[in-house]
This record gives sequence, structure tokens and C-alpha cells, in this order.
Amino acid sequence: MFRILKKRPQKQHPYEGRSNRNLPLSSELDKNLQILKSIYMGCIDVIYHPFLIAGKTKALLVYIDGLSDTEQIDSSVLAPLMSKTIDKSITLQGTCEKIQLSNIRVVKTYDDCIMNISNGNPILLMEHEEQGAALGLAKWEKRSIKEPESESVIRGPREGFVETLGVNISMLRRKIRSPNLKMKKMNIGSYSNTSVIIAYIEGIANQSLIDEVQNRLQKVEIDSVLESGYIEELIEDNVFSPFPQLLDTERPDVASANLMEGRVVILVDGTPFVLIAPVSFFSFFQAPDDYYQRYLISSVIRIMRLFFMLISVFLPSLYVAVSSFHQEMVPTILLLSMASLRESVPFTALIEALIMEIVFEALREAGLRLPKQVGAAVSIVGALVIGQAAVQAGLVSPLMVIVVAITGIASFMVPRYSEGIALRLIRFPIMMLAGTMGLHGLVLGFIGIAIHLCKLRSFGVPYLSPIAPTIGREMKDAFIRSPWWMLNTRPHLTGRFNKYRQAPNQQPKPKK
Amino acid sequence: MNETLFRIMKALLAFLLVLSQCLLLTGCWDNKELNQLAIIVGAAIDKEKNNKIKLTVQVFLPQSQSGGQQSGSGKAQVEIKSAVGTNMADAASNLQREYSRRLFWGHCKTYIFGQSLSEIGNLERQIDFIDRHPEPREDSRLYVSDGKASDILQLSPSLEKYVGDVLRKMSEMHVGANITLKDFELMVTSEGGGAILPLIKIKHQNNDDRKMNVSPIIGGTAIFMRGKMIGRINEVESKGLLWVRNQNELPEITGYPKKGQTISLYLKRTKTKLIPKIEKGKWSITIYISKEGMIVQNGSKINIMTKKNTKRVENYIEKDVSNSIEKALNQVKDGMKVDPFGFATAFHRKYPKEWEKVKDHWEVVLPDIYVETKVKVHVLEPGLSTTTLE
Repeated sequence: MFRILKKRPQKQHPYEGRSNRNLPLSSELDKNLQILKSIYMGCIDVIYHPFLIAGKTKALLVYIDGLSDTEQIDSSVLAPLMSKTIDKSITLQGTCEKIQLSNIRVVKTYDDCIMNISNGNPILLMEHEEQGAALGLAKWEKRSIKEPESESVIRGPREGFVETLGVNISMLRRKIRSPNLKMKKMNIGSYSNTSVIIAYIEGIANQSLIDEVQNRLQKVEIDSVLESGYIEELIEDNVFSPFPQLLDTERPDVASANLMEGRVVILVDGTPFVLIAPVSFFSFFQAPDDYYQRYLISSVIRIMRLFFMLISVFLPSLYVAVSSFHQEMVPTILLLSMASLRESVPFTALIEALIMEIVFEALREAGLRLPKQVGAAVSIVGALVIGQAAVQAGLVSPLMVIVVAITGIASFMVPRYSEGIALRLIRFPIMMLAGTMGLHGLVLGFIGIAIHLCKLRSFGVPYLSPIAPTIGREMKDAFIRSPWWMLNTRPHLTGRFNKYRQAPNQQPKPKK
Repeated sequence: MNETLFRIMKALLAFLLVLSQCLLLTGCWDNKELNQLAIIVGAAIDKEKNNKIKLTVQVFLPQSQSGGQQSGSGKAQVEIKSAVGTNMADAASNLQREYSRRLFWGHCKTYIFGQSLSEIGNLERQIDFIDRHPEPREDSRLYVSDGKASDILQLSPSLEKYVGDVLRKMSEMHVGANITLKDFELMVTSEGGGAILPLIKIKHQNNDDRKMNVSPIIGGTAIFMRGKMIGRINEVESKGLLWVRNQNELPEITGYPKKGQTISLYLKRTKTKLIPKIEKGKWSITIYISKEGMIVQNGSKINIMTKKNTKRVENYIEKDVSNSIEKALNQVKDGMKVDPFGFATAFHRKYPKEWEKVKDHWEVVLPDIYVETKVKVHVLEPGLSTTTLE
């Protein structure tokens, strides 16, 4: 067993990376066709369409079936090119002028060609030309914009990002119409060739932050990026932490709001989830509604969320500690009924709590994955098993059921799933500490978490800010949500390069 | 396998190892599960032969309630057992021999001492157990029983679940003196050394001697000098004594304007000040008492709506207040020569040098001190009606 713990010499990693096909296109059409065919050997969905421009010059159109708009190819490309009205000079440039399209780019290498074909842009190649044209005719089936299910709101926009990068960018652009909304594009994934975009607002976001995000993304060498979670783990600061260090969201309004606070948004093609960096612990407790509802209500709800966050982490541990170590802390009458209720339970409080919490987690997970029709059955069975049968069988005490129920509800109060699940996870070790050392253990666990959180950074920003380090004026958007007329400055750690977001003294009041 | 994964696995493995140790540790250190405890909810200490004491405890019997069917009565099942020992700790350890579960003192909030034990003196030696043992609480309340203390525990009260709770709630409501362990210790160690504890009696209702209709009442106060009980006073005198101590008793005071006529005041605010004075070697103390309240019953012909009559009413009630104080002073200061009023502290504070001279024979000096009582009663409101029905 201890052999596993011993260090092994590290082997050279056999990862190949991206092969280099950066060869220039040939001027012979047949040779180009041959090479492309050899590259796309076995790809039955690639279509090579040879034709004659104006009945004279040989030309070739290469595209992938289903990725391009074939109707447009027929009407806007083939129809005008094949008509006899074209005059004598048939160069690539002249041809492109005839094509009724706004988005045409010149490609010079095979690599370029492949990239465009994979993206759905048909490639037009001509005899005697060392370059081709990529026609912006990419079109494939997209999901329509829907309300994001994991982040529903009472008040606020109902649109959510979709799997198509272009649509997502347009949604951001529709929210922030300034030309200062800049985007940097890169492709990650040697096979998947996924487009990843870093969006930021020039003049608000820190330049060094943008560089850092870009650097970290450039270091990623992976075969495919199918979801933003892939790169989240590859660019985060502390890989051992259970706490998420990037915020994921499906909502364009959340992404835009974060852009306006000087943060960087990372959009990944193929997933509606975009990543936001840097974030702090409190970012995960800011629901989009907070900024749309009246500030008083939002503030109260936010305080409640934080309170229930503590409950979701510490309540089972507190119950375990108090009922097996510190009985004198419980009011007498409550203790007597606790003693009566626990009388027939064969386990110690710790085991009892562990059983119930694990069963609860199992039920939650089972309900999550099942189709909706079956999910209801699971929840009914779960409620019966946890709520009644276990108590009747004398396995657990009714009090434990109450504790688990409150904990469960409390853990769902965290608006972000990724943070909620992290908090749910850490309550197990704390429960064990509380079960072995009582309140001392609980306090130890708390200190441990606090130390870890104080140490944690998200792209250089302290995770616990604005508590540690304490930044008094940033409290305006941590525990409470101050009214908009008080939120004059952007968050200090990300927005200090463009401090003011609005004019001062905007509190509505009668004219003097 | 690359190195990072290795590090993660190592960290995870180490973490799980530590956690698994935790699981093995449960039940070692200080762990005491609820169903390994015999929770004591009341204790009584009585005198026994051969300089021994008898400790009687009331232990809560948890009844399993599987199936969620609550027993209809809602009465806590308690069991009473007693054991003899040389002191409380010894008796408790003898008692432990009769229980399969560890006796747990953390929720015992009432300790009743038998009168005979209190009268021997050195009660503080028994109290030391409650004070020193980590489980009993400093805010637990102490009582002296009229007769055997263990008899009080036998009663089954009608409203609360066990006797201890009844007594504690009555004290919290200021029926009789409300003395916690801490208060008693403070009094015993104070300058005068006079202390008080509420005295519990058993009241038989309707001459029916079945246990159900028997309830404990707080009837008067036991007066202590240091750790020795030397006398007792009745309810009226207790009221006076507590007023001098700036403590409350039940808030109603009744004055008697004429024979057969009554008028009752419900106190809302009350304040006491002791002003000691030494003039030409003569020691005197003035008790200023001010009380404010509203009239809750007017059983007299006085029209309380006029200012002049309000004054009269106030006078009647003042008379009643100073009457009970007078009685208390007579009984305790002059009769028992004990000072639970706090006179000694007052003198010590104002005249530290003079106090040094008398502190060794305070009980001789005390009866000669002239006490003047100045009571000021103020009727705040006449209640909800104006005149009486007559």
C-alpha cells in the first residue's frame, strides 16, 4: 500500500499535439483535390463539387453536408458563377466579386481550408490559383434560445445562452452595444478545434488580467473541449479545493453584469455555460434577481442565503456535537424529548447523521438524473423512506430527519449549483470531526475551512474578499445589495481601473 | 500516471486515512451518547444517621417513541432513587451502582436541602459539590424543605413534568426568594454572612391525601448565617425582606383603608436604596423604597379618580409595605441577629474604617442599629374603570 505513496519517476508524456499541415495550397486544382481527399479519407459527409466558372475555368467547391447552407450555395454561389455572363478575366478576386455574399475570406493553406470546412464554410478553389475562398455559409441546426433551467429567475430576462458560440456572442453584444466590448478568439482542442472566446470590456477590465487569462488558455493542450468545465479545471488556481474558482452561468445578463464590473467572460463553443473570472466567495451568493428586485428585499434574501449556507454546512455537525458531547447546552425540556426520541435508535448520533445525510445525497443525485416521470416516484419513495419508514423502523430519530430536511433545504438556498455542492461536500468531514471531538472538532473544521478560503485565489483575487482582506466599501454588494444609487463604484479588485460606474448623488429626492 | 494526479491521490488517501481514524475514535474521548445517560432532573439532600447524608435523585426515564405515537399524557416518566454517603459525591457514586447509565447532572437545576441538614450547619460543604463538579450549573436553584427534602421530590405536579421544573418556574416568577447557587454563595461570603433560601412546604388540597392533589408551595424563607439555617420567616415577612434586598416578590400589594375594605396595587416599578449613617457613634440606616404601580382592585369606597384620594390610597399601601418590612426587621434583625438585608455591605462601602472595628462582632452591633423605613408609593393609573359599582 505504501508503494502507492512513493514517488514514481515521471514518464515522458506521449501526447502528440496538433500535427502541422501548414502547407500552402497548390496552383493545380487536381493536386489540391487529391490532398484534400486524402485528408478527408473516410469522411463520407464531405462533398466535392467540381464545376466550371462561366463554362471555362475549372473550380471546386468543398463543404461538409449539413454544416453549410446548401440553398444559399446553389442560389448565391453556383448560379451567378455558372452563368455565361461572366467576362474574360477570371481570377479569384473577380470571381468573389460575383458571388452574392458578404462574408468571404481568403485561405492560403490546407490548414486554413480544413478549419473553414470543419466550421461549415464551403471552400472555393480554382484552377491556376494558389489561394481559395472561404464562403461564410455556415449553417446548422441550432437550439432555440430558451430560459435557462438551472438559473431561473422571478424577474429578469428569460433568455439563456445556447450551444452556438455565434449566437452567444450576439447575445452579449445585444446587451453591451459599446465597441469597447472586445473579444479574443482562440481554438483549443487538437481534434475538436473548439473556438474559445475571451470577452472583456476595454478600459474596465485590467489588462494584466486579460493577459493572464489568455496565457492560461494558451497553455491548454487537450484533444477536445466539449464543455467549459474542461478548461475550468485546466486554468483554475487551486486544483485541490472543493470550491469553484470560476463562476459558470447560462445567463447573458449575468455575464454582461460581470463584464461591467471588470471581469472576463470565457465563452466556449458547444456549451451554453460561460465562465467568469475572477470571482469571490460572495459572487456565488448573488442571484441575478438581486439586482432586479427592490434592494431591501434583495438584501434580506441575501443575508438569509448566507445564514442558511452556514446552516447547511454546520447544522448536522452541531446536532451531532451537542447530542453526543454537550448535552448540557440543550434546554432541559428539549433534551428530555430528544432523549425520548433517540431512545430506540441503535446508532450513535454521528452514524445516524451520516446515514441520513448520505441517503439524502443519494436521493438528490438519483432524482437529478432520472427522467421527469420517474423522478417523481423517486422523490415519493425517498420522502416515505426518509420521513417515516426509517423513523418507524427505529433506525433514526425524528429529530435527525428534521435536521437533515433543514440542511437539505438550506443547501439549495445557494443560488449557484457548483458552490452549493461544494458546501454540501464539506459538511461530511465536519460531521466526522464533530462526532469525534464535539464542538472542538466543529470549530477546528470551521477554522480549517476559513484558512483554506483565506488562502484561495481566483485569478489573483482573494476568494474571501471583501471580508479577507477587509474592504469596507465593498460590503455594499457582499452581505447586502445596496440600492443602485449607492453602487457608484465598481468592485475594487476588478474594476479599479475605471472606478466610477455612474454619476454621484442619484438618490431620487424632491427638487430644492 | 502523471505527477499531479499522484499528488491528488496522495492527498486524498491521507485525508481519508485521517478521517477513518476519526471514525474509530468515536466513543473514546469525551463522547457520551444521549442514550448512555441517566438525566437527573432534581436532587434532594437529607440528613442521615452517623453524620451521613442521603442523596435522592429524580431521574428521567426516556420512553422510546418509535412509530411517532406520542404517549397521550405527556408526563415525563421520572424515577426516584436514593443512596446514603458521607458527602454528595460519595452518595452519588453509591447511587451510580444502581444505574446502567451514567448519572448526568447537567440538567439538574433544583437542589432541595432538608431542614434538619440545614440546621446542622456547614451546608457549604455539600454545596461545594454542585459548585466544583463540572456538570451541575451555577444557575441551579437551591431550596430548603420544611421536613424531609426527599418527600418534595415524590410529588407529581399537575402542570409541569417534574417537581424541579415547578419550583424553578415559581422562582423565576418571583414567588418567594429567587436564589441561585451563585446568589447563595455571594450572600454567604458577603460581609454580614446572612443568607436566605426559599422554604418549600407541601400543601394538601381538599384534605385529600392522594399524591395527585399535593403540590409544593414556596412558603416563606429560611434564614441562614453562613452555612447554618437558624430560623424561618413567613410569606409576609419574606416580602418585606426581599423588598429591602431590592428584589421582587409577587407584584400585588393590598392596603386596608378601613376594616373590611381593601385596595390592591399591581407594582410595575420598584426600587430600594440603603443609606447608612454613623453619627456620634450611633449607627443608623435609612431604607428608601419607591414603588409605582396601577390599581387592580378597589374594594373600598374611596373615589380614586381624584388627586387627593390617590394620595390617601398611596398612604394606605405605604403603610402595608412598611408593615411587612417592620415585621421582617423585627424577626430577622432583632430576633435572629442575622443580616441578610445587606446592611453590612452598605456600611462597609460607606464607612470602611468603622466597619473594620465591628466586623468581628457584627451580630452584637446589628440589633442596636436604628433602621428607618421611608416608603414612597406612587399610583400611576387607576386601572380600566373609574368608580366602583357601589
